[in-house]
Amino acid sequence: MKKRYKQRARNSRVQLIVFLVIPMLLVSAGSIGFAMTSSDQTTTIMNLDPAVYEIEITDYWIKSYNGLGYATYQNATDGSIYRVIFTDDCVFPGWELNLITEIYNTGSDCNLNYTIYYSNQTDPPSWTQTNEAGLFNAVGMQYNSTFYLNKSLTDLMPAKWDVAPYDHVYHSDYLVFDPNGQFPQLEDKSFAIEIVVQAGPPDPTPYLNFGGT
Amino acid sequence: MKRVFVALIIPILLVSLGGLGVSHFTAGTAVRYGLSTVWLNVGFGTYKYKSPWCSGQVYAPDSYTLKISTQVFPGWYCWIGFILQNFGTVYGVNVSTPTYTITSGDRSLSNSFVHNEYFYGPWTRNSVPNNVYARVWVPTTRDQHAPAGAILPPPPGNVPPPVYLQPSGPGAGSTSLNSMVLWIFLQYPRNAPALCNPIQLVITITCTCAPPSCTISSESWRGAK
Repeated sequence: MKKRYKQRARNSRVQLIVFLVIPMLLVSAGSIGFAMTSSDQTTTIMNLDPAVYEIEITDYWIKSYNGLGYATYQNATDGSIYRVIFTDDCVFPGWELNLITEIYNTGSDCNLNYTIYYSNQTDPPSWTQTNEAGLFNAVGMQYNSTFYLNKSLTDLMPAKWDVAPYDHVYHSDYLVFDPNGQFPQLEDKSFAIEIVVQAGPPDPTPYLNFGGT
Repeated sequence: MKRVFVALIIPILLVSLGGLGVSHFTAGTAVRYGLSTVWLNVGFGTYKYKSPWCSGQVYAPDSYTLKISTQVFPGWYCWIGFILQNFGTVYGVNVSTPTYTITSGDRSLSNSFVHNEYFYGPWTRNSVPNNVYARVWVPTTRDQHAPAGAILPPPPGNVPPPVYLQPSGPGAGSTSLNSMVLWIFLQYPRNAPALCNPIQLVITITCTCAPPSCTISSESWRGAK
Protein backbone atom coordinates (compact mmCIF):
# COMPACT_ATOMS: atom_id res chain seq x y z
CA MET A 1 0.00 0.00 0.00
CA LYS A 2 2.83 2.35 0.96
CA LYS A 3 4.69 1.43 -2.20
CA ARG A 4 1.67 2.14 -4.39
CA TYR A 5 1.20 5.53 -2.72
CA LYS A 6 4.84 6.46 -3.44
CA GLN A 7 4.42 5.46 -7.08
CA ARG A 8 1.28 7.57 -7.37
CA ALA A 9 3.04 10.49 -5.77
CA ARG A 10 5.91 10.21 -8.24
CA ASN A 11 3.45 10.17 -11.14
CA SER A 12 1.80 13.34 -9.88
CA ARG A 13 5.25 15.01 -9.72
CA VAL A 14 5.91 14.04 -13.29
CA GLN A 15 2.58 15.49 -14.29
CA LEU A 16 3.31 18.62 -12.31
CA ILE A 17 6.64 19.05 -14.02
CA VAL A 18 5.05 18.61 -17.43
CA PHE A 19 2.25 21.05 -16.69
CA LEU A 20 4.55 23.64 -15.16
CA VAL A 21 7.65 23.35 -17.24
CA ILE A 22 6.18 23.33 -20.72
CA PRO A 23 4.08 26.50 -20.31
CA MET A 24 6.96 28.19 -18.54
CA LEU A 25 9.32 27.33 -21.34
CA LEU A 26 6.82 28.70 -23.82
CA VAL A 27 6.45 31.90 -21.83
CA SER A 28 10.22 32.29 -21.66
CA ALA A 29 10.63 31.70 -25.35
CA GLY A 30 7.84 34.18 -25.98
CA SER A 31 9.75 36.84 -24.11
CA ILE A 32 12.69 36.27 -26.40
CA GLY A 33 10.44 36.29 -29.44
CA PHE A 34 9.15 39.75 -28.72
CA ALA A 35 12.67 41.07 -28.54
CA MET A 36 13.58 39.98 -32.04
CA THR A 37 12.58 41.77 -35.19
CA SER A 38 11.69 40.28 -38.50
CA SER A 39 13.50 42.65 -40.77
CA ASP A 40 16.76 42.89 -42.59
CA GLN A 41 18.70 45.81 -43.96
CA THR A 42 20.99 46.57 -46.81
CA THR A 43 23.02 49.68 -46.23
CA THR A 44 24.82 52.04 -48.56
CA ILE A 45 27.27 54.32 -46.78
CA MET A 46 28.18 57.35 -48.85
CA ASN A 47 31.11 59.46 -47.76
CA LEU A 48 30.54 62.69 -49.61
CA ASP A 49 33.37 65.19 -49.60
CA PRO A 50 33.26 68.72 -50.91
CA ALA A 51 34.82 68.90 -54.33
CA VAL A 52 38.32 70.39 -54.20
CA TYR A 53 39.58 72.39 -57.15
CA GLU A 54 43.35 72.32 -57.40
CA ILE A 55 45.55 72.66 -60.45
CA GLU A 56 49.23 73.24 -60.92
CA ILE A 57 51.59 73.98 -63.75
CA THR A 58 53.81 70.99 -64.39
CA ASP A 59 55.62 72.30 -67.46
CA TYR A 60 55.80 75.28 -69.80
CA TRP A 61 57.50 76.13 -73.05
CA ILE A 62 57.57 78.78 -75.73
CA LYS A 63 56.10 77.62 -78.97
CA SER A 64 56.87 80.76 -80.96
CA TYR A 65 58.48 84.08 -80.12
CA ASN A 66 60.24 86.88 -81.98
CA GLY A 67 61.57 89.06 -79.17
CA LEU A 68 64.45 89.23 -76.70
CA GLY A 69 62.68 88.37 -73.45
CA TYR A 70 62.93 85.42 -71.11
CA ALA A 71 60.73 83.28 -68.93
CA THR A 72 61.12 82.34 -65.28
CA TYR A 73 58.75 80.75 -62.81
CA GLN A 74 57.70 80.87 -59.17
CA ASN A 75 57.18 77.79 -57.05
CA ALA A 76 54.40 77.10 -54.63
CA THR A 77 55.31 75.85 -51.16
CA ASP A 78 54.80 72.26 -52.32
CA GLY A 79 57.35 72.74 -55.07
CA SER A 80 54.91 72.94 -57.94
CA ILE A 81 54.95 75.86 -60.33
CA TYR A 82 52.15 78.27 -59.74
CA ARG A 83 53.24 81.20 -61.85
CA VAL A 84 55.24 81.55 -65.05
CA ILE A 85 56.70 85.02 -65.50
CA PHE A 86 57.70 86.30 -68.90
CA THR A 87 59.68 89.50 -69.12
CA ASP A 88 60.56 91.54 -72.16
CA ASP A 89 61.82 95.11 -72.07
CA CYS A 90 61.75 95.67 -75.84
CA VAL A 91 58.23 95.02 -77.01
CA PHE A 92 57.77 96.38 -80.52
CA PRO A 93 54.87 96.54 -82.96
CA GLY A 94 54.52 93.03 -84.38
CA TRP A 95 55.99 91.46 -81.26
CA GLU A 96 54.41 88.06 -80.64
CA LEU A 97 54.62 85.26 -78.14
CA ASN A 98 52.99 81.88 -77.89
CA LEU A 99 53.55 80.39 -74.45
CA ILE A 100 52.25 76.93 -73.55
CA THR A 101 51.62 75.77 -70.01
CA GLU A 102 50.93 72.19 -69.03
CA ILE A 103 48.23 72.14 -66.36
CA TYR A 104 47.73 69.18 -64.07
CA ASN A 105 44.49 68.59 -62.16
CA THR A 106 45.35 67.49 -58.63
CA GLY A 107 41.80 67.99 -57.36
CA SER A 108 38.29 66.93 -58.28
CA ASP A 109 36.61 66.96 -61.67
CA CYS A 110 36.64 70.56 -62.78
CA ASN A 111 36.09 73.05 -65.56
CA LEU A 112 38.87 75.44 -66.50
CA ASN A 113 38.47 79.05 -67.44
CA TYR A 114 40.71 82.06 -67.46
CA THR A 115 40.60 85.69 -66.44
CA ILE A 116 42.68 88.52 -67.92
CA TYR A 117 44.18 91.28 -65.79
CA TYR A 118 46.37 94.17 -66.83
CA SER A 119 48.24 96.89 -65.06
CA ASN A 120 49.63 100.13 -66.49
CA GLN A 121 52.46 99.99 -64.02
CA THR A 122 54.80 97.16 -63.21
CA ASP A 123 56.37 97.98 -59.87
CA PRO A 124 54.14 97.19 -58.13
CA PRO A 125 51.34 96.24 -60.52
CA SER A 126 47.85 97.52 -59.91
CA TRP A 127 45.61 94.94 -61.52
CA THR A 128 42.44 95.63 -63.44
CA GLN A 129 40.27 92.77 -64.64
CA THR A 130 39.42 92.95 -68.30
CA ASN A 131 38.71 90.85 -71.37
CA GLU A 132 40.36 90.48 -74.78
CA ALA A 133 38.82 93.68 -76.16
CA GLY A 134 39.61 95.63 -73.02
CA LEU A 135 43.21 94.45 -73.09
CA PHE A 136 43.63 95.49 -76.68
CA ASN A 137 42.16 98.91 -76.01
CA ALA A 138 44.27 99.41 -72.92
CA VAL A 139 47.72 98.28 -74.02
CA GLY A 140 47.40 97.36 -77.69
CA MET A 141 47.92 93.66 -77.04
CA GLN A 142 45.90 91.07 -78.93
CA TYR A 143 45.31 88.01 -76.82
CA ASN A 144 44.05 84.57 -77.73
CA SER A 145 43.60 81.73 -75.25
CA THR A 146 43.22 78.12 -76.30
CA PHE A 147 43.04 74.92 -74.27
CA TYR A 148 44.24 71.63 -75.73
CA LEU A 149 43.86 68.06 -74.59
CA ASN A 150 47.21 66.82 -75.84
CA LYS A 151 50.77 67.94 -75.67
CA SER A 152 51.14 68.16 -79.42
CA LEU A 153 48.35 70.75 -79.35
CA THR A 154 46.22 69.09 -81.99
CA ASP A 155 43.09 68.29 -79.98
CA LEU A 156 41.18 71.33 -78.91
CA MET A 157 39.53 71.10 -75.52
CA PRO A 158 35.77 71.42 -76.03
CA ALA A 159 33.95 74.17 -74.18
CA LYS A 160 32.97 73.26 -70.62
CA TRP A 161 35.16 70.18 -70.84
CA ASP A 162 35.33 68.22 -67.61
CA VAL A 163 38.95 67.88 -66.58
CA ALA A 164 39.14 64.65 -64.62
CA PRO A 165 41.38 64.20 -61.59
CA TYR A 166 45.01 63.56 -62.57
CA ASP A 167 44.42 64.74 -66.13
CA HIS A 168 46.81 67.04 -67.95
CA VAL A 169 45.60 69.75 -70.28
CA TYR A 170 47.55 72.42 -72.16
CA HIS A 171 46.91 76.12 -72.27
CA SER A 172 48.17 78.32 -75.07
CA ASP A 173 48.60 82.06 -74.49
CA TYR A 174 49.06 83.84 -77.81
CA LEU A 175 49.99 87.52 -77.55
CA VAL A 176 50.60 89.95 -80.38
CA PHE A 177 51.55 93.58 -79.75
CA ASP A 178 49.50 95.57 -82.22
CA PRO A 179 49.35 99.16 -81.00
CA ASN A 180 47.76 100.25 -84.27
CA GLY A 181 46.80 103.90 -83.84
CA GLN A 182 47.98 103.98 -80.22
CA PHE A 183 51.61 104.24 -81.10
CA PRO A 184 53.52 106.37 -80.13
CA GLN A 185 51.24 106.89 -77.08
CA LEU A 186 52.31 103.42 -75.92
CA GLU A 187 55.96 104.11 -76.66
CA ASP A 188 58.29 103.72 -73.66
CA LYS A 189 55.57 102.47 -71.39
CA SER A 190 55.68 99.60 -68.94
CA PHE A 191 52.69 97.40 -68.40
CA ALA A 192 51.91 93.97 -67.04
CA ILE A 193 49.46 91.33 -68.10
CA GLU A 194 48.35 88.39 -66.02
CA ILE A 195 46.32 85.46 -67.28
CA VAL A 196 44.87 83.48 -64.38
CA VAL A 197 43.57 79.99 -65.10
CA GLN A 198 40.97 78.89 -62.57
CA ALA A 199 39.51 75.48 -61.83
CA GLY A 200 35.85 75.51 -60.90
CA PRO A 201 32.91 73.17 -60.55
CA PRO A 202 32.19 71.03 -63.59
CA ASP A 203 29.15 71.98 -65.58
CA PRO A 204 26.50 69.28 -65.11
CA THR A 205 24.35 70.59 -67.95
CA PRO A 206 25.43 68.06 -70.61
CA TYR A 207 24.43 65.21 -68.33
CA LEU A 208 21.12 66.41 -67.01
CA ASN A 209 19.16 64.39 -69.55
CA PHE A 210 20.38 61.23 -67.93
CA GLY A 211 18.37 61.39 -64.75
CA GLY A 212 19.35 64.77 -63.46
CA THR A 213 16.93 67.63 -63.05
CA MET B 1 14.35 13.45 -6.86
CA LYS B 2 13.24 16.41 -4.74
CA ARG B 3 16.59 18.11 -5.30
CA VAL B 4 16.32 17.62 -9.04
CA PHE B 5 12.78 18.95 -8.93
CA VAL B 6 13.83 22.02 -6.97
CA ALA B 7 16.92 22.58 -9.10
CA LEU B 8 14.80 22.55 -12.24
CA ILE B 9 11.71 24.36 -11.15
CA ILE B 10 13.24 27.30 -9.29
CA PRO B 11 15.41 28.61 -12.18
CA ILE B 12 12.58 28.04 -14.61
CA LEU B 13 10.17 29.88 -12.35
CA LEU B 14 12.61 32.77 -12.03
CA VAL B 15 13.12 33.01 -15.78
CA SER B 16 9.40 32.87 -16.43
CA LEU B 17 8.59 35.42 -13.75
CA GLY B 18 11.19 37.71 -15.26
CA GLY B 19 9.43 37.50 -18.61
CA LEU B 20 6.04 38.05 -17.00
CA GLY B 21 7.23 40.87 -14.78
CA VAL B 22 6.30 43.65 -17.15
CA SER B 23 2.79 42.45 -17.80
CA HIS B 24 2.28 41.67 -14.11
CA PHE B 25 2.33 45.34 -13.22
CA THR B 26 -0.09 46.37 -15.87
CA ALA B 27 -3.79 45.79 -15.77
CA GLY B 28 -5.45 43.64 -18.34
CA THR B 29 -5.15 40.26 -19.81
CA ALA B 30 -2.48 38.95 -22.07
CA VAL B 31 -1.86 36.03 -24.28
CA ARG B 32 1.69 35.08 -24.87
CA TYR B 33 3.02 32.67 -27.36
CA GLY B 34 6.12 30.64 -27.67
CA LEU B 35 7.91 32.13 -30.66
CA SER B 36 11.16 31.64 -32.43
CA THR B 37 11.91 34.18 -35.09
CA VAL B 38 13.34 33.64 -38.49
CA TRP B 39 16.43 35.58 -39.46
CA LEU B 40 15.79 37.37 -42.70
CA ASN B 41 18.64 37.36 -45.14
CA VAL B 42 18.37 39.85 -47.97
CA GLY B 43 21.44 41.23 -49.66
CA PHE B 44 22.64 42.35 -53.03
CA GLY B 45 24.00 39.87 -55.49
CA THR B 46 25.65 42.64 -57.46
CA TYR B 47 25.72 46.43 -57.58
CA LYS B 48 26.50 49.31 -59.91
CA TYR B 49 27.56 52.88 -59.28
CA LYS B 50 27.15 55.23 -62.21
CA SER B 51 28.02 58.90 -62.36
CA PRO B 52 29.21 61.10 -65.20
CA TRP B 53 32.09 62.31 -63.06
CA CYS B 54 35.14 60.22 -62.61
CA SER B 55 36.00 60.72 -58.98
CA GLY B 56 34.52 58.02 -56.79
CA GLN B 57 35.49 54.82 -55.05
CA VAL B 58 33.08 51.98 -54.48
CA TYR B 59 33.65 49.06 -52.16
CA ALA B 60 31.38 46.31 -50.89
CA PRO B 61 32.79 44.66 -47.76
CA ASP B 62 29.92 42.15 -47.83
CA SER B 63 26.59 41.52 -49.55
CA TYR B 64 24.76 43.85 -47.21
CA THR B 65 26.93 46.95 -47.20
CA LEU B 66 28.09 49.21 -49.99
CA LYS B 67 30.58 52.00 -49.30
CA ILE B 68 30.93 54.86 -51.74
CA SER B 69 33.39 57.72 -51.40
CA THR B 70 33.13 60.57 -53.81
CA GLN B 71 33.36 64.31 -54.17
CA VAL B 72 30.24 66.36 -54.56
CA PHE B 73 29.45 69.72 -56.14
CA PRO B 74 26.17 71.43 -56.97
CA GLY B 75 24.63 69.47 -59.83
CA TRP B 76 26.44 66.23 -59.05
CA TYR B 77 24.42 63.06 -59.27
CA CYS B 78 24.79 59.32 -59.35
CA TRP B 79 22.77 56.21 -60.04
CA ILE B 80 23.17 53.25 -57.70
CA GLY B 81 21.78 49.94 -58.88
CA PHE B 82 21.35 46.67 -57.04
CA ILE B 83 20.11 43.21 -57.75
CA LEU B 84 18.58 42.50 -54.36
CA GLN B 85 18.12 38.87 -53.50
CA ASN B 86 16.28 37.07 -50.73
CA PHE B 87 18.85 34.53 -49.61
CA GLY B 88 16.55 33.31 -46.85
CA THR B 89 14.91 29.95 -47.34
CA VAL B 90 11.85 30.22 -45.10
CA TYR B 91 9.94 33.46 -45.55
CA GLY B 92 9.34 35.95 -48.27
CA VAL B 93 10.20 39.59 -47.72
CA ASN B 94 8.88 42.94 -48.82
CA VAL B 95 11.50 45.41 -50.01
CA SER B 96 10.39 48.97 -49.36
CA THR B 97 11.54 52.45 -50.23
CA PRO B 98 14.98 53.25 -48.76
CA THR B 99 15.54 55.85 -46.10
CA TYR B 100 18.27 58.49 -46.25
CA THR B 101 20.05 59.71 -43.14
CA ILE B 102 23.04 61.98 -42.69
CA THR B 103 24.98 60.35 -39.89
CA SER B 104 27.91 62.74 -39.74
CA GLY B 105 28.42 66.28 -40.88
CA ASP B 106 25.76 68.91 -41.44
CA ARG B 107 22.51 67.03 -40.82
CA SER B 108 20.46 69.92 -42.12
CA LEU B 109 21.58 68.92 -45.62
CA SER B 110 19.50 65.74 -45.54
CA ASN B 111 16.64 67.56 -47.23
CA SER B 112 18.95 69.09 -49.81
CA PHE B 113 19.50 65.86 -51.70
CA VAL B 114 17.13 64.82 -54.43
CA HIS B 115 16.47 61.10 -54.54
CA ASN B 116 14.22 58.87 -56.58
CA GLU B 117 13.85 55.12 -56.40
CA TYR B 118 12.83 52.70 -59.12
CA PHE B 119 11.81 49.11 -58.33
CA TYR B 120 11.75 46.25 -60.82
CA GLY B 121 10.81 42.61 -60.48
CA PRO B 122 10.62 40.14 -58.97
CA TRP B 123 12.35 37.50 -61.01
CA THR B 124 14.41 34.42 -60.44
CA ARG B 125 18.04 35.36 -60.02
CA ASN B 126 19.01 34.05 -63.42
CA SER B 127 16.18 35.72 -65.28
CA VAL B 128 16.74 39.36 -64.30
CA PRO B 129 16.36 41.12 -67.66
CA ASN B 130 19.50 42.75 -69.01
CA ASN B 131 17.59 45.86 -70.00
CA VAL B 132 16.79 46.77 -66.41
CA TYR B 133 20.26 46.16 -65.02
CA ALA B 134 23.15 44.89 -67.10
CA ARG B 135 22.64 47.26 -70.03
CA VAL B 136 21.95 50.35 -67.98
CA TRP B 137 24.57 52.91 -68.88
CA VAL B 138 25.31 56.51 -67.90
CA PRO B 139 27.55 58.66 -70.09
CA THR B 140 30.68 59.90 -68.42
CA THR B 141 32.79 62.91 -69.10
CA ARG B 142 35.15 60.59 -70.95
CA ASP B 143 32.71 58.27 -72.66
CA GLN B 144 29.61 59.75 -74.19
CA HIS B 145 29.10 57.16 -76.90
CA ALA B 146 26.54 54.64 -75.77
CA PRO B 147 27.46 51.02 -76.45
CA ALA B 148 25.06 48.96 -78.52
CA GLY B 149 21.90 48.14 -76.60
CA ALA B 150 22.62 50.60 -73.80
CA ILE B 151 19.66 51.72 -71.70
CA LEU B 152 19.65 55.10 -70.01
CA PRO B 153 18.37 55.12 -66.46
CA PRO B 154 15.74 54.80 -65.22
CA PRO B 155 14.92 51.78 -67.36
CA PRO B 156 11.23 51.47 -68.23
CA GLY B 157 8.98 48.99 -66.49
CA ASN B 158 9.37 49.96 -62.86
CA VAL B 159 6.76 48.84 -60.35
CA PRO B 160 5.51 50.50 -57.17
CA PRO B 161 7.12 49.37 -53.91
CA PRO B 162 7.12 47.22 -51.94
CA VAL B 163 8.35 44.35 -54.02
CA TYR B 164 7.74 40.90 -52.60
CA LEU B 165 10.66 38.49 -52.85
CA GLN B 166 9.98 34.81 -52.38
CA PRO B 167 12.36 32.77 -50.26
CA SER B 168 15.17 31.08 -52.09
CA GLY B 169 14.56 27.54 -53.08
CA PRO B 170 17.01 24.74 -52.42
CA GLY B 171 20.11 24.51 -54.57
CA ALA B 172 21.33 26.52 -57.49
CA GLY B 173 19.04 27.46 -60.33
CA SER B 174 16.20 28.18 -57.97
CA THR B 175 12.86 28.88 -59.59
CA SER B 176 11.67 31.13 -56.80
CA LEU B 177 11.07 34.79 -57.58
CA ASN B 178 13.65 35.93 -55.06
CA SER B 179 15.42 38.72 -56.94
CA MET B 180 14.64 42.29 -57.89
CA VAL B 181 16.39 45.34 -59.24
CA LEU B 182 16.49 48.66 -57.44
CA TRP B 183 17.86 51.83 -59.00
CA ILE B 184 18.44 54.87 -56.81
CA PHE B 185 18.98 58.31 -58.28
CA LEU B 186 20.75 60.67 -55.91
CA GLN B 187 21.54 64.27 -56.72
CA TYR B 188 22.97 67.28 -54.98
CA PRO B 189 21.00 69.99 -56.77
CA ARG B 190 22.53 72.72 -58.88
CA ASN B 191 21.01 75.45 -56.77
CA ALA B 192 22.35 74.03 -53.51
CA PRO B 193 25.31 75.72 -51.85
CA ALA B 194 28.67 74.04 -52.29
CA LEU B 195 29.45 71.57 -49.54
CA CYS B 196 31.81 73.02 -46.97
CA ASN B 197 32.59 69.89 -44.99
CA PRO B 198 32.41 66.15 -45.57
CA ILE B 199 29.16 64.41 -44.79
CA GLN B 200 28.21 60.77 -44.48
CA LEU B 201 24.91 59.79 -46.03
CA VAL B 202 23.52 56.38 -45.16
CA ILE B 203 20.94 54.82 -47.44
CA THR B 204 19.08 52.01 -45.72
CA ILE B 205 16.96 49.54 -47.62
CA THR B 206 14.74 47.77 -45.12
CA CYS B 207 13.21 44.42 -45.92
CA THR B 208 10.34 43.23 -43.78
CA CYS B 209 9.14 39.71 -43.30
CA ALA B 210 6.14 38.82 -45.43
CA PRO B 211 4.97 35.34 -44.46
CA PRO B 212 2.57 33.41 -46.67
CA SER B 213 -1.12 33.87 -45.94
CA CYS B 214 -2.67 31.63 -43.26
CA THR B 215 -3.98 28.30 -44.35
CA ILE B 216 -5.39 27.22 -40.95
CA SER B 217 -8.15 29.33 -39.49
CA SER B 218 -8.11 30.24 -35.81
CA GLU B 219 -11.33 28.25 -35.43
CA SER B 220 -9.36 25.06 -35.94
CA TRP B 221 -7.40 25.62 -32.78
CA ARG B 222 -10.37 25.76 -30.44
CA GLY B 223 -10.49 22.00 -29.97
CA ALA B 224 -7.51 22.18 -27.68
CA LYS B 225 -9.79 23.21 -24.85
